[in-house]
This record gives sequence, C-alpha cells and structure tokens, in this order.
Amino acid sequence: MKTSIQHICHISQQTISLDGKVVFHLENQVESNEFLNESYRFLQIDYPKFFKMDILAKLAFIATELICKSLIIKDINKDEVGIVFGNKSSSLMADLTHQRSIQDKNAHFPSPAVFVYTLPNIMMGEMCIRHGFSNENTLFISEEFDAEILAKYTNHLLNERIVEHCMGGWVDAQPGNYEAFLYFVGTGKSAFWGEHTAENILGLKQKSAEEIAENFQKTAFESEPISSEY
Amino acid sequence: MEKSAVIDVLKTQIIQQLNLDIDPKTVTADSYLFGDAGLGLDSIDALELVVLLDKNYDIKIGNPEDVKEHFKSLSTLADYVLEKSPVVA
Repeated sequence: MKTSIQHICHISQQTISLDGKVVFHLENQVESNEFLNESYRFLQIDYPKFFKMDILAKLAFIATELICKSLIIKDINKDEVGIVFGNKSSSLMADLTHQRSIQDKNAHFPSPAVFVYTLPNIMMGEMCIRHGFSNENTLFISEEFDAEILAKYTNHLLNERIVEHCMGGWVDAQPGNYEAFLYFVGTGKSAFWGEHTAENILGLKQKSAEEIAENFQKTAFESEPISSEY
Repeated sequence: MEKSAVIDVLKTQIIQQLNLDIDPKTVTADSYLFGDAGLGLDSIDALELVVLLDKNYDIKIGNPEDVKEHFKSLSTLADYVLEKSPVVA
C-alpha cells in the first residue's frame, strides 16, 4: 500500500515552519522554554496545561497542534491515529531540572510536576490527551535521526491497518539545542510532500533545516524585523 | 503576619511554582484551588502544594487526604499556614 506525507512541521532555531512556510520566528535570542511559550501565545492556543509541560512535550505539542489544525482530511478517526517518534536525548532537560532539585541534601525538594516528565514518552501521552489519539505510540531512541526505522515501522502500522494515520518524526531537546520535525502520514493518494519513504523524510528534514538556518542567518543580520504570519 | 498578606504570598508562590498561566488579579481568596470553577489544579498540583508548604513554610504533610479541606481555597490554605507554620509569625 502506498503511504504519503500530508503535512510537515519543523521547529528549531527559534523558528516554526508548517508545510514549508515560516509561521513564527523570534529574532531576539531567548531560552528554549521562553521561545515555546511565546509561540504558544502567538499561535493563540488555548490549553493552559501547556505551561506545565517540559520542553520536549512543548515541542511536540506545538508541532502537533499546527499539523492537526491544517489537516486536509477533517474527519480522521482519532482512535486510528498512531504516533511514531525518534529522539536522541530522552528526557534529559526534565532529568537535569529534577536533578537540580535533589542536589542539595539540606534542601531536598523534588518537584512532582517536574518528575512526571522524566520519561520521554510522556510527550506522546500529552498529545494523546489533547487530540484523543488512542492507538499505537512508540518512541525510538537513537544517536541520529533514523529515517529508516521510523519509516519502516510507520509503514508497517499503516500497511497492516493497525492505524489509518500516523504522526511521525523527531523531537529532541538538550541544553542550548532543540528540534521537532513532525510529519503526518496516511495511505492512498499521493500528498503534496510525496511518498512516505526513509529517503523522502530524510530529504524533507534536511531541506527544511536548511531553510530554517537560512532564515535564521538572514534575520540575524537584518535590521528590519521579519514579520511572522499564521 | 496578616492573613491577607499570607494569601498574597501564597497566590504568587502557587502561580510560579505550578507554572499557571493565570492573571493573579483574577484569583480571589475564595477561588477554588481544584476543579474547573477555580484554578483548575490537578492531583500532581496537589503534590506540588505539599512540597511548597514543606519548602516555604516547614509544614510536613504525611497524607494529603488529611488536609483536603485546607486545600479548598487560598483562604483555607492561609488559615492552615498561619496555624501550622513555625516560620510565619
């Protein structure tokens, strides 16, 4: 069965692009958490629980939110949507925050709200709660973006009719660096972003990263601020 | 310390500690802490409140169920802090 990529969303370097178009960019350098909070406000999302999430969950949340709002097929069966993600650093950012809270023996106050995010697949749980996805979800941890395994596993789920659609991609956060590259995959007619193959998702990710880097370079040296559209 | 001052401090601490996206002006002393009618706190937040009371007020709570009634609103929480905390005079 032919599987195709219907939407892509990429977040990195203070830029969010949806289907190849920049929807939000912040010029002033800020902490990753602040950037994501700013993007939430800019995109006018109404989900207060967002502010309690860790960086990883916030990245996946924003990207999923944008993709779901743009879906060509409006009547998807949410019980039949799977999630297949890849990640390098696991829940490192939440782990570090938790570690800091237990560092001092005399001020040992671990935060339950931080601790719940010390598992990377919690971000997928947040997506399921928000959008009502209740099918398969899997997170592969690897050193690099492993397009091969992600495409293979996702296509298996689709071809075996375990899911009808799948949110796939890469979400990673570490000190000073973060990236979410998410895509929505379905079966049937070829979509704008082409067939869902390892080569294609790898190529799309690289191309999108180049465009974001180019935009970042451009705005870093321009005196006029870039206007964001959504 | 006056009860109104304790309420103001607790309000700020809760909003900060629990990462709530709420305008402090909209929260009154009688706003419910839990449930949709108030601040909308959940079970994880309840644990976070227990930690907050320990960290800032040296109040140790063994079983949150025992203090459920004190977690009703900022006003009831302030009463509890004034009664139990050795660091709030």
